[in-house]
Amino acid sequence: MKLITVLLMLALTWYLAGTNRQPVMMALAFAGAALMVIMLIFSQYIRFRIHAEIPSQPNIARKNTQTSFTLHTRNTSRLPVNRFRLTFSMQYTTERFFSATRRLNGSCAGRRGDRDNDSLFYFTAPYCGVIRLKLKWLKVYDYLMVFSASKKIKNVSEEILVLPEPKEMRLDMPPFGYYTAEPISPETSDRPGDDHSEIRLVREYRDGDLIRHLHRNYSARTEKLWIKEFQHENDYIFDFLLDTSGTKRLNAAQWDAFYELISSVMYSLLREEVILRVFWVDQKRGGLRLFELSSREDIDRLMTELYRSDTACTPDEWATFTGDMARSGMRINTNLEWFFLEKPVHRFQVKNIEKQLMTEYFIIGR
Amino acid sequence: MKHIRITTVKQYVTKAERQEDDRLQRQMAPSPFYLILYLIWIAGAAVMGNNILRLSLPLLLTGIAGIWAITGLLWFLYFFHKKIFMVVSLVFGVAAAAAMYPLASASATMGAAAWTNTKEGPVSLLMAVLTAVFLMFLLEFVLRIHAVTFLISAGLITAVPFTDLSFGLWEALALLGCMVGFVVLNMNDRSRQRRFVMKKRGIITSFCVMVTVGLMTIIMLITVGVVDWQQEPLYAQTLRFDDRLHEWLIDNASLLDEDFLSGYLSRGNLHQTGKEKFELSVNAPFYDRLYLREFIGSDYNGQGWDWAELWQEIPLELSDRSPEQHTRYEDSEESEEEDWGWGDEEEEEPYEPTYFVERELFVSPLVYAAQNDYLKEMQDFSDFLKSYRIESLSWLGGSPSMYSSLRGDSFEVKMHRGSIGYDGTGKIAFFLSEDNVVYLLNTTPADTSDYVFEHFSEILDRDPAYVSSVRAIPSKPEVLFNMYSSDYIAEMLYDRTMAMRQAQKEEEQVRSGEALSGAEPDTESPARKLRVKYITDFYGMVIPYYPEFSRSTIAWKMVDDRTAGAEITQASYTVSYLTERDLPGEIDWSGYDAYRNYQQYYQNAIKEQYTNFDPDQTPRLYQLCQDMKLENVNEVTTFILYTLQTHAVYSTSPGNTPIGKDLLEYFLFENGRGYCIHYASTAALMYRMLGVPARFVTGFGVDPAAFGKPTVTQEGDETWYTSTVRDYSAHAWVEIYLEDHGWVPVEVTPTASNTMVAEYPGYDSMEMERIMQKYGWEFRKNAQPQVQSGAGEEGENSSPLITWVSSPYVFIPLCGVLSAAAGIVFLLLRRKRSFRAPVGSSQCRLLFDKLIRMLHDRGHLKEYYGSEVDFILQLSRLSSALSAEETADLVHRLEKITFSTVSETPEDVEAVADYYRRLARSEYDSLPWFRKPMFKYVKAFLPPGA
Repeated sequence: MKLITVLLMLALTWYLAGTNRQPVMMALAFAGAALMVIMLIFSQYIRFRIHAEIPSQPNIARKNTQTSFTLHTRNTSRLPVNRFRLTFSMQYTTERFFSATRRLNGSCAGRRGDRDNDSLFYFTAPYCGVIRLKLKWLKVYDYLMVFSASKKIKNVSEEILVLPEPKEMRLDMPPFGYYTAEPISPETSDRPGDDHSEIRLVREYRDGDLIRHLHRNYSARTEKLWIKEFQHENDYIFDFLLDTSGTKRLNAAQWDAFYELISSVMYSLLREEVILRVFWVDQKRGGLRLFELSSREDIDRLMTELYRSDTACTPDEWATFTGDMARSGMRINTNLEWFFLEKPVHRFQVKNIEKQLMTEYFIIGR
Repeated sequence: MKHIRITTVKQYVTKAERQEDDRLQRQMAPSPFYLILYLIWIAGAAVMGNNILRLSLPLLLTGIAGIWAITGLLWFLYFFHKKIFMVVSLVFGVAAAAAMYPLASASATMGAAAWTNTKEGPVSLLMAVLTAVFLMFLLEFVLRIHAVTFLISAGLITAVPFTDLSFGLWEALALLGCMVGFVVLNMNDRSRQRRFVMKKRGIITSFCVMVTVGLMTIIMLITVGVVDWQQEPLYAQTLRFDDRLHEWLIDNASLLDEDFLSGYLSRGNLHQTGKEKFELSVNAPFYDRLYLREFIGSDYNGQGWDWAELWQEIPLELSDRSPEQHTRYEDSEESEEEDWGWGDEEEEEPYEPTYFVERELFVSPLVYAAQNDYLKEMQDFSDFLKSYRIESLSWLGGSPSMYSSLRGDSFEVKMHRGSIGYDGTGKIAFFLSEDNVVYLLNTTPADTSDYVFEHFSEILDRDPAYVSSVRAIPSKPEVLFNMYSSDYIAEMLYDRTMAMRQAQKEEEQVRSGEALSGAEPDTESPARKLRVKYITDFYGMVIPYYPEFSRSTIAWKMVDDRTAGAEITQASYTVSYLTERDLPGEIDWSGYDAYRNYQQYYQNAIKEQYTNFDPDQTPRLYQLCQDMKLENVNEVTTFILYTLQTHAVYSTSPGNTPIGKDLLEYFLFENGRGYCIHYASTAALMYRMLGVPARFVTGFGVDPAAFGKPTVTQEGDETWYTSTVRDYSAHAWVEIYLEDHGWVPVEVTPTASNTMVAEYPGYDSMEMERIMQKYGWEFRKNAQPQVQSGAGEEGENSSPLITWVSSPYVFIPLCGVLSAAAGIVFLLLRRKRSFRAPVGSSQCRLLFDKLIRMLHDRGHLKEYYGSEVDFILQLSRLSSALSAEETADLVHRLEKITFSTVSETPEDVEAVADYYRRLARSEYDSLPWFRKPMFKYVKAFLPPGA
């Protein structure tokens, strides 16, 4: 529309100039036309000189929390770009149709100002899961914004892991010694190293730690003091199975509920000072995976690993991988059913799951 | 399904962040560059509008300086002392309202122009100007609405062709540059990005505006040169397009159908597309331009010429018809138009012939004399008269002519004396004048003072036995009427024998059922004849000079064939005429004393009417003619030709006449370009001002060359040459009255080479040359118009400085100087700015990055960026300006600033700046002299003060 208006104005100027013998107006019309041609060439020239990318940055976000991201545009020409429009989309990897597409308008300095060509945007993810941030189109305008040239951006995307916010449920746990842990097979262990049955973890020295618990070897190598923390004999060890079998393809809301439930249960169980051994099927690794949780920080790492796993499996595969493990632990499936020793604890609804998690009281194993 | 929400604005902004944003917002004040852009725009608009304001140069410059000062002050207050600005705005607003109220109310009563002449007027006007300046400042800098200045600029440029606004190169660059700048600014001010986006965008916007404006300026200068070199071909291209557009609009939208052949004078260009008008057939070749008159003007009214009163309705009291009968024959252009099919198609009525009653008509004595050969053939009329009782009667008659030329009830003519003839039944049959002109009656009035006349077809219907032509019989002795219907061109000096024969022939034709067609007079007259046959929508009646007054009949085929919606395709008429060459050189006035008296009366009447003009309408033209003391009409003609030739050139594209200007004065004294209507109108007015009766005429000027390849047909004994007349032949000229000759055309439009070729009886090129020498006049050699500036009588607006500045040949060097100066200032400012880090950025990092770029530019350490392990070693080896310790210190400071959480201190900045300065100085000194300016100013590696 703008181009048509400009061309009409130039044509009118030329017409008035010619029919009224106004040399300066005629020059004006031709100058305007020449400028339009230059702007057209400029827009095409810049199209090949400007690139967009996603700079490496932490790709973790919290659900329902505004998170910032920068998109970097690089202009390899000497001339700055007064205005460009970057179209990108954010979509949950579990969704095929619902995506959020936005256009980011910005300016881009010339080659010397390369470092400053960052565009900031904020997003708020409504569900837990993996979001793919994908750059789609880059459109550049000339200085007068009459002409534009666009190009498709290929293969520039980044995954953002949206983790649930820490929530703790109200649990009534069974007394100590209610069950014991099975030994962990070395092949599926995520923690190579010393005897796991004795040493629980190695951490930095704190005031009050016993010198005899110093991990001398590691301390000597790193020039810092490290302490071996041993397994308590009366530690709770929960086997926790994440049952992703036998379900049809879930949407983002359903996966979000699943992850919220897992996360909340983890936080709640860890509050009770238990050690969790979380198992799930990961087709990428060809079988059952184990992740041992002993602190709240581990939960984020667990979720990260879970997001990156291929958890799809059939009920038969699940049974093959897990055997009777569920009988001696907790199990949550993608239908939001929670079992303890294969006895149902609760069945959650996708809708308002957070409210359910925060308001209800759950009794385990009674 | 919830969606991912993406925004570019942070949801919750802390107080600290908001304060930071506000601080950045304040720092985002437009740089002085934008203010300069706006001030240039003000200057350009003021210079442009001064052609209308007509201020003297000192006053104009003072006004511009005053507006600049006020704007600059407002800018300073707004961006640096906002509170004072608010107070000033409030006070100003109240004062402006108080001062402008009387202006507004006065404008409604006495008009703004009158108000400014009163004591309070100028003060209020000044307040109005200041208010406008303030409002524009608000729009531009506070609200950042740049569209208004853009629209004002576009409006001014568009209005140039239609007003008196000047539009030189300076104005174009000022307005256009600012328009482009405002467009770019508008794009960026619309978005409301925050924080570092705003900061960055401001810098980029400035650069983009400068690049665009600079580019536009350079292109403009180049195109000015190109246009100046190829002006006419470029205009010709546009005019060709204009002609095509004009033609399309007329054909498809019935718009712009200018009636060239009328008294209206177009204020624009002439559009001729070669459209066919009519077919012209002549029975003998002609060797001079054949002037065919269609419109004759009487008085100039500023927009054009009024119609000369050639036609007048028949007074009802002069007719013995009942109103109903009379109505049928009323002269009505509207009914005629409706009859032609231009009215309501559904209410079409059969064509009714319309009577036109002419008041005094006049025929050239020479034509009259030439006609007398026919009268000598009327010997056998005496036999005819024997059957009638002759009764003498002294009363007045007249010699009707083709064109009436007189106005006024005061005109009286004493015409011929003659005899009335009665037929056997006692009815008045005819009137025989002393010069043997026969007038035939076809009804019997009650007495001789009351005569009735009827149309030929009416007579035939009622009483076919009667002669079927109509003659003029005055009902009052002192007033002559000549009546003829639209079927006839003229009834004039009548060959009674011919008329009788003609009438009988037509009577037979009607009785036999034949349609009347362009019957030609049955005569052996050697008179020339021309036939006009309509082939398009042109239906004017064009008549040559010196029409021969034998009876001619125009029989419109449409009378018989006309049906609703039928196209008039074969309407035609024939006129007999004479050319100047055919006329006798001298007149034998014996026997024509009455006619000579008649001519005298005629001359007296036209002297009054056709020397009329309004001196206030064209004061400059009047002034030009007033002081001339010329002896005769030939000297007047020569003076007019000399004035036209030296003041103007012929052009079909003179452009639009600005609103409010008189067309003719603008043509002659300002524009210097025009075509035939301009020349003819100006000449007609000048003739009148110098005492020569003159009329403006439009019609067709058919050159012999137009008959270059005619279609030759044989009709009986006559050979006819037919060619199509197109709109190229449409023309305007002036006709003056010459004694014994009557109205003669004078060609006042020059040829393509700007040569005057006017000729009429008693005047030719030799006579013109003689008179030119007598008065020392000289025609202009070149074909360029002597264009004057837009200065009026009181005008001092076009001062030499403005004209000088507007001239492209002078402006180019001036622009070069200004550009060079601007470029130097730009480089100096840029150099200074390039060593200042933006707020929030590290000064040390900026200097270090600049240092790396400088080294790379000089070809040193191209693979190093400062973080390499051996960078210190390499740099210290490279230049003796810095020792190894200093280099190490430099790098460590930068590492500390970059990688730790410690921010830079003033000592860091000073140290790094010192290191950079010394290194840059060392590199600068090593350069050859011709590379130093580039290093220092263009690349800005050497800091100020180094």
